[in-house]
Formats: sequence, C-alpha cells, structure tokens
Amino acid sequence: MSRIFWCLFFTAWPILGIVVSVISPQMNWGFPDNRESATPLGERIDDLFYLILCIVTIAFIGTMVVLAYVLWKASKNEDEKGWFSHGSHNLEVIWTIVPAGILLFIALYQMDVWAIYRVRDYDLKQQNSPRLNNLVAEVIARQFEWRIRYPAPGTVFKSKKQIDDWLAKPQAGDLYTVNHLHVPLNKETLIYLKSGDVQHSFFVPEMRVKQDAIPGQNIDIWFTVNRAGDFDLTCAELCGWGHYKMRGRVTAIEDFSGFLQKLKAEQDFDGISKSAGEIAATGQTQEVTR
Amino acid sequence: MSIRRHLLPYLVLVLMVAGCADQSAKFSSDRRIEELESASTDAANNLTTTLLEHFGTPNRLVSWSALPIDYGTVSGTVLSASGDQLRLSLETKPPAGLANVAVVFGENNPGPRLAVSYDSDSRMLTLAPGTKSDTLPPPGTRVRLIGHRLQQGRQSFMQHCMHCHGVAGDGFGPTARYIRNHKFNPMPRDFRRGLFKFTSTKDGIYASRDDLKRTVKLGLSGTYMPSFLLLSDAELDAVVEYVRFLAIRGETERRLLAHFQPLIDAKTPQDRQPLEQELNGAGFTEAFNDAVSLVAENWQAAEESDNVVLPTVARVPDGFESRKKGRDLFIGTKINCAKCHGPRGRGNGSFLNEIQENPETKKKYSEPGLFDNWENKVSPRDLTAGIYRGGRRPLDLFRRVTTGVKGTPMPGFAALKEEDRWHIVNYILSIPIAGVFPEKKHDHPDGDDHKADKPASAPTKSTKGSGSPSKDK
Amino acid sequence: MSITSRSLATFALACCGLGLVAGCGGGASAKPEIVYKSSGSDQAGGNGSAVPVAAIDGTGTFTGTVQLTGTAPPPDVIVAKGTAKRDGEVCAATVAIVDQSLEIGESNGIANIFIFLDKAPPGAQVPAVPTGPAVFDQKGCVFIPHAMVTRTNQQVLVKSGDAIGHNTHTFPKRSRVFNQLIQANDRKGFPLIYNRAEREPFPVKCDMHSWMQAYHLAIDHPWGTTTNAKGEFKIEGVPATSLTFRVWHERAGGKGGFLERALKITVKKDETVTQDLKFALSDFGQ
Repeated sequence: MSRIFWCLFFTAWPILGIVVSVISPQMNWGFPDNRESATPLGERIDDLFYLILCIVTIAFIGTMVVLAYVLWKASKNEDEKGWFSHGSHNLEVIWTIVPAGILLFIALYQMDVWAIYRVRDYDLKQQNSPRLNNLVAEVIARQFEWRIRYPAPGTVFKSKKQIDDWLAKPQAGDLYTVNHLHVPLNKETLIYLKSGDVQHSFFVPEMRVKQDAIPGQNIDIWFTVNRAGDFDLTCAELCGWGHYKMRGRVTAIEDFSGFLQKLKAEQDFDGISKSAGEIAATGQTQEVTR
Repeated sequence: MSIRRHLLPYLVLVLMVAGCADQSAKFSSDRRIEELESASTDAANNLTTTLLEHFGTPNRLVSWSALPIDYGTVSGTVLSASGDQLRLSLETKPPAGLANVAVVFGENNPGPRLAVSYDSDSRMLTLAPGTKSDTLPPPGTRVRLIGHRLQQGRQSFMQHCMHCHGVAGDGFGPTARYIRNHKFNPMPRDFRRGLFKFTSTKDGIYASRDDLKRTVKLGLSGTYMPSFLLLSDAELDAVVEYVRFLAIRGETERRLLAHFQPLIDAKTPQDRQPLEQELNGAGFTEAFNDAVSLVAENWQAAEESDNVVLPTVARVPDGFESRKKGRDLFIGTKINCAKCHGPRGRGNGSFLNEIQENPETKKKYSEPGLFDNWENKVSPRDLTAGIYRGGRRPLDLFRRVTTGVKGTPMPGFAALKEEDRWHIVNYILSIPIAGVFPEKKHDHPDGDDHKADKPASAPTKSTKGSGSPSKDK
Repeated sequence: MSITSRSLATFALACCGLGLVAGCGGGASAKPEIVYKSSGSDQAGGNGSAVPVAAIDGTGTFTGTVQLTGTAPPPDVIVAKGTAKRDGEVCAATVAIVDQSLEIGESNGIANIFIFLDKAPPGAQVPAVPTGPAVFDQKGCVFIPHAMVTRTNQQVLVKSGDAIGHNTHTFPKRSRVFNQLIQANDRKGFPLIYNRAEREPFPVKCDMHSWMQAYHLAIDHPWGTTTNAKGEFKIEGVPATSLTFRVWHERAGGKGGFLERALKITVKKDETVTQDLKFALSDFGQ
C-alpha cells in the first residue's frame, strides 16, 4: 500500500513541475512582465534560454516517465525480487555520448552570443575607434547604492588610454548622480563598472544584462537599448545586509545630450545665477533645487 | 504510543509556532533613564509616562497638534451615522487602504475615536467600538481623519531606516554597530539632538524639510547613508515627517533628562530630597511645556524662507585667478583652514594633534583629534577625494563655507565677503582635479613645519589646471 | 515500520507548511494606530497663572564677595610662553597661557563666579534690553572676559585682537548655536545674539585652540553678574522683594555647576544687602 503512495508521491512532483511550466506564460511567471528583452542581444539570450529549456524538458519528461514506470511496476509485484545487474558497457557509453553531444551542441550554438556579450572591447585598442565614444558612464557599486559619473558633455575619447585616465581620476566637468542611470536610446552604450567596496553585480533583468563588479577592476558592459522607459537595476551579488534594497533605475531616453545639459545646469547651480524656477521649468532631473 | 516516540519532533513543532512576533513595540529609552530610575523612580515614571502620553509607541502613535508636524489630515462632513459606521463626504481623496487613523469630530472633541477602516467605494468609515458614553455625531458635523502621513512615515521608516537609525531614531539600530567598526564612516545620525549636519539653513537654525528630503533622496556620498531616490515623493515626505516626529520626541526626552540631571548627580538622599521636590512636581510640568514649545519653535523656524542661506553675489567665474585666491585664503593663518584640513587638503591638519574637551561633560577626550556633538571622533574632510557629503553643487559648498557643518567643529565663515567664499569654493572644487596647488611648480612637504603664511609665488605661465582630455569651460 | 515512516512524512510536511506561516504578521508593515491629542489640553502651552500679580515697589542693591577658604594651588600652565606649536607668533607669544578654570585673586577672592536670578520675579519691572552691544573679545588666544552675562536679544559683538583666525563656538542649551570664524584683528566685531534665556551658564570655545574657553550666561533680565578678579560682585536695581539667587562656577563639583542653588535674600527698597560667600577647595572638585 505504501509503495503505491511513494510511487504517486514521486510522480506527482514532476507532473506538477511540468504543469507549472506550461501555465507559467499565462500566469506571468516568467521573464519580467513577460515581455521581450529591451536589448537585441537580450532577445538572443532569450532564444538560447528557450532552446535549453526545450532540450532539458524533453530529457526531464523522458527520465521521469521511466522513473514512474519503474516505481509503478515495482509497487505491483510484491513477491518478485529485484535482479542483480553487472552493469552494461553499451548503456554507459550511450548515456555518456548522447548528453555530451547535446552539451557540445549547446556550447557551440551559444558561442556567438557569448562573444557579442563579453568580448567587446577588442577594437577599442585602435586609436580613434568610433566605439570609444559610446562610453556613457562609470558606475561604482557601493554598499548600498549605485554612484554614477558621466564624462563632461562634449568629451571626446581618442584612445583607450584616455578612457583609462578618465576612469582613474575625477575630471573637471564630470557629472555625478546616484541610483538613476540614464542611457541613450537605440545607441550602443558602454558602461564601466567598478566596485567601491565588496563584490556587487549590475543586473538589469529587462535588458538581460548582468555583470559582477569586482573590487579593483574596471569592467566594461555593452548593450543597446531599443525600448524607451525605465528598467529596474538590482544588485545580484550578496554584498551585505542592505543587498536586498540595493535598487536603482536605468532609463533609456531619446535626447541624451539634452539630459546631460540639464544635469550640468543643476550641478553648477550656485543659488543665484539660474533661478530654481527656471530649472524646474526645464524639468528637473532628480535633485532638489533648494 | 507514537507520540511518545516522536516527542522531540512534536515539541520542536510547537516551539516553532510559539515564538511568533511580539506585537508590543516600544521606543527605546535614553540610557540615562536608568540612572534617573536609581535616583528617583517617581521622576523616571513621570518622565516615561509623559512621553508615552504625548508621543505614544511605534504601534500606537500620538498625533499631538502642538507639534509642527503634518500628520496627514483628510477633512470632510458626516452624511449619516449608524452603529459604528459613518457615511462621509471627504474633501480630498484619502490614500488607499486608510485604516487605524484618528477621527476627530468638530473642533472641540473630548474623545477622538479610532477609525478601523475606510471604504472609498461606499464612503463608509468603520469606527472602532467606543465606550458607552460615546454619542454619534449628527449629520453635517465636520470630521477630520488624522494621521495617515505619520502612519506611512512610520512604516517606511521601520522598513528602510530603523535598522541603522534605531526605533527611536537614536542611531543605535541593530546594524549600526557594523558601521562603528569603520574608522572613517560616521555613525547613523542620532536624531535626538535635533541637529543635522548638512542643511541649507543659517547658523543655529534647524534643518528644513527640504534639507531632510534632500539627504534621504540623494544620500550622503562617502557614508553609509544610501540614496532613496526611488521612493515616491509621498513616501519621502512621509518619512521626513516621521523623522521630525522622532527628533522632536527624542529632544524632548533629552531636555527632560537634562532638567533632572541635578537629581541624577545628587550623591546623598539629603541632597536628593529638595531637588526631587523642586524638579518633579510643578517644576516638571513647566519644564515639559518649556521643552516642547522650544523644540516646536525651532523646527518651525527652520521652515521660514528667511532662514535659508542664499548668496547675493553670483559665483565668481571658476578660473586660475579665483582658485589661487581661494588657495591663499585656505593656507593663510587669517582663516586657518589648513590647520584642520591640512596644507594639502588631506584632512590631517595639525589641530588634530590636540586633545579636546567635551563641552557638555567637561571631560577631556582620551585621544587627540576632533569630536562632534554626538561625541564621535570626526576628521576634517579630505578635500582631495572629491567627495562632498552635503552636496557638490557650488551652492552646497557655499552653504558649507557660510554656516559650517552643524554639530561639528567646522565653523561658518560668514565674516568673509561673498566673493572670498566663492574663491574658496572654486579652489575646493578644483583640488581633486587640478591638485592642491593651482600652479604645478611648487610642491611642499606634508606636515606643518612648513610656514604656510606666505601664499605660493605666481607661476610662470597661467594654466587652467585641468590635465584631462575633457573640455572645461 | 510503515507507521513510523508515514508519521515522519506527515511530520515533515507539517513542518514545511508551518514554517511558511510562522514568520507572518506584525513588523514594519503593520499599520500603527493613531491617537489624536489636542493642544488645548492642560499639558500644552505653558500659560502661567492668570492671577494678576502685584507690581514690586522699589529696588535695592545686592553686593558681596565670594572667597575661597584655604589656599588655592597655583594654576596650571597650559602653554608656556613661546612654546605654542601652532600660531606661535600670536598664542602665548608674550605671556604664558594659564588655566583659567579657577582664578583666585587677592584676599582669596574667586573670580568668574556667576550670581544670577533664575527668572525675573513676578511683578518686577524688567528694564528694556540695552541698545548698545556687549563686547566679547579675544587677544593672545585668550577670551576676554572669561565669564560674561548678557541679556537675551542684546547684540554681542565678537571681536578679535589677534592676527590669526579664531572661531567662536557657543554651546547654549536653549538659544541658537553660534559657530563662526572671527576674522583676524576684527575690531568691528561679528554680531551674535542669544534668542532665549538660559538657565545656567554654558561654555564658549574656539575649536582651533583647544584651551580657549569662556562662559556666557544669557538671561532675560538684568539681575545677574559675575565676580571680578577680587571676587566682588554688585547688582543694582534689584527688585525689592525676597529673591532666590543661584551661584554657579565652571569648576563646581568638578565639572561645573551650582555652588548654591537657592541663595535666599530679602531686599528692601533702597537698601543694600551684602553677602559674603565662602567655598572650600573641595567644592571645586579638588
């Protein structure tokens, strides 16, 4: 009697898992807001995700069916004893080679996406590479906030060394904000990620961007945002007691240089030259202008 | 039979559910109340009871109209009443999920009721069951629902702020001790002195709501106070009101303890007797009223626009000349900035080698260095880092130079002309980028053996002082 | 066997279930109750008694001396002449800086003792705030005077006779705090106003020079003064009634406080009351 119980018990969970997976799109238990990624690279990552999900689901269903069958059969036969097997060399070969083949397939299939995602700054070493000026900001992850520094409006970077110099020291005219990162829309964006203390991780789920911040390193993050709007930025590496609330916001806007000009006006506010009312009329970005 | 075999697991099960949350939260008391207890239990009880009556507990807050706090009021009229249900017509839209707020009828209500919930669809307000003598108000009575902003502030504070700042805003929350381990980080602010370091108000004036909101919104860079930029405006305002509430409560408690200090200090019962008579009877009521009115007036004065520091002279254009003048002022002995901030602006000036005395307790500190009003060791800002806790706008630095940093030894320099203050601001902003000396030629050793009175000699060529590819206008 | 394993399984499931709900309820998201308290109640405001008080007729004078019984030790030298590590051209340049916390003058008179009325007695006619300023100066990195009584809302001009910058940082308990640079050789003075009456004197320091300390008392009536170098004091125009004076010194009890909380005298019209107070070294924490 209890054998049937355990058989049903161990069969129920996989069935529940599959049912949950099948109904999850309708229930919105999936990607953020069930939407497509906001970056084209993100869409390719999503495709990879679904591919792997398919492969794994097939394997899962297969193995669970076998398990359920075995349990059911065994629960029926109270008298028959199990037979002892010395193993089967063929079987072992089969179930090594087939998964290896599948894994190899996945590895080769995703190489492209990995290259686009991670190996991006190879051509920055060239002088005057146009991609140097995709640099939007430096983000320093600190307990428990994101400190952002934009280069002064009008800055032109001519070499990787200039970028490194800019990253190393604050420069005149740099603009500083915190927790709210603005990036241009439809333009390749480069963010350099630093850590102010411990390991953090720059994670924008809707853009499918995730990069750990390692203390002592300047790590480049590349993405192109195709959808205007606000995206959640969260920390994805446990960094202390405030890790859960280390949230930020990434906003993709059309008029990025206009935003920088507004930010500069706010940051240069000396209390008298431009009245608070004027700044408010242009739409203040984030600072209280009193 | 099987229960005895599995006694231990079932016991564990019972214990797991038995420890569920204790709902009676209390504001943590100042440590000196224990000392007062041992001197006179009467006085201590008087103090704690008065505070409880006028401020409440975190789960049962008192919205006392004598305090300059916006508790969040929704006014309206009673349309009809039956049992504990009232039909209301409200003038403004109440926040969603309004519950547990105080309901006041008319102007002079002897016993305000407690609202349990409000349903905005049917406009029905359900009151908590009152006493037998409570009569229902007739239709047409003015009604005020008071307290939703304080409620929201309390909830947000407990969620985001309490773990550092403590339940009573005393800076001793559970995670505060981990900040203490870092020598260079300030402790979470203890609100109970009514003092906040980075304000836009004049010398001696308290922080305005705008100042507190700015601090919460943008954080204090270089410290553990993070930015809460992503909270909604309503939430930020509510948290600021609650912080003011805690500050007022804490300061009232401190002043009452200061009032009782002679009683705590009295060494013999003979000394204590007359003091207890003097301080605990009518003297206590007077001290309480005095403390509350003083604190309320101070917070009120902080909101006046006259008390905001604004320059009357526009910022002197940032350039070599201005920075050089700023630097000459900085290292000169007429102002003595370098004596605290160091000749290289590293925050290691020679005044840090002296042992200071605490003006309140009259005891000398055990180590040399500067201390703030909260008795924490502080260091003068390292100006080479480019981190400005009170804000990095020229206006913020102007305010810092004009009124200093409240609660610390950093004084204001309002005696200087505004142009001179702008020169200093320009110099300070240039230090992280262009270095401590506007001209590159001279380099002096650290320490104060070097006589810093003479301004550095003029350079051979004028430089803008920027060494980066960026274009600085 | 089956019973055991089944009950164990049930137990395991029950634990999981209960663990999920055990932590629920209360905490940060609980909605606190709000209780309204009107300020028309007895505790607020602070209105005094509405009973009119008869005006006090006439004034007198209160004078006397404060002396130390026993011999005082010579004061410590804080900075010997010419040895100041910072600002040595000005601080202790010509004369050593000496501890001023217990200054004993000739015939053992104690200087810098505050004698004052806590509050103006009811019915007294309080003279108006003087229009002229009080002066608080500093020279040779020492505050002059070391102890000062001013009226609230009277302008105090903080001056400096030194060629270096000082900051004057006040620590009042009730008035607004003042912490400003006083410019080198500022003979015009930087204005400082105490806006509320204090109950006892408070320290005034210079953060740049840690030995620089003075004491101020701001009261809303003119019946308070300090003893001079010889320990003498005189308060004129005191209301002719029974008064309770307080006697305060910065070293009383070791950390500053009242030597006498209730010095009761009765002044009759146009008469002088003289009190000679004596305190021992033990009263000063030694």
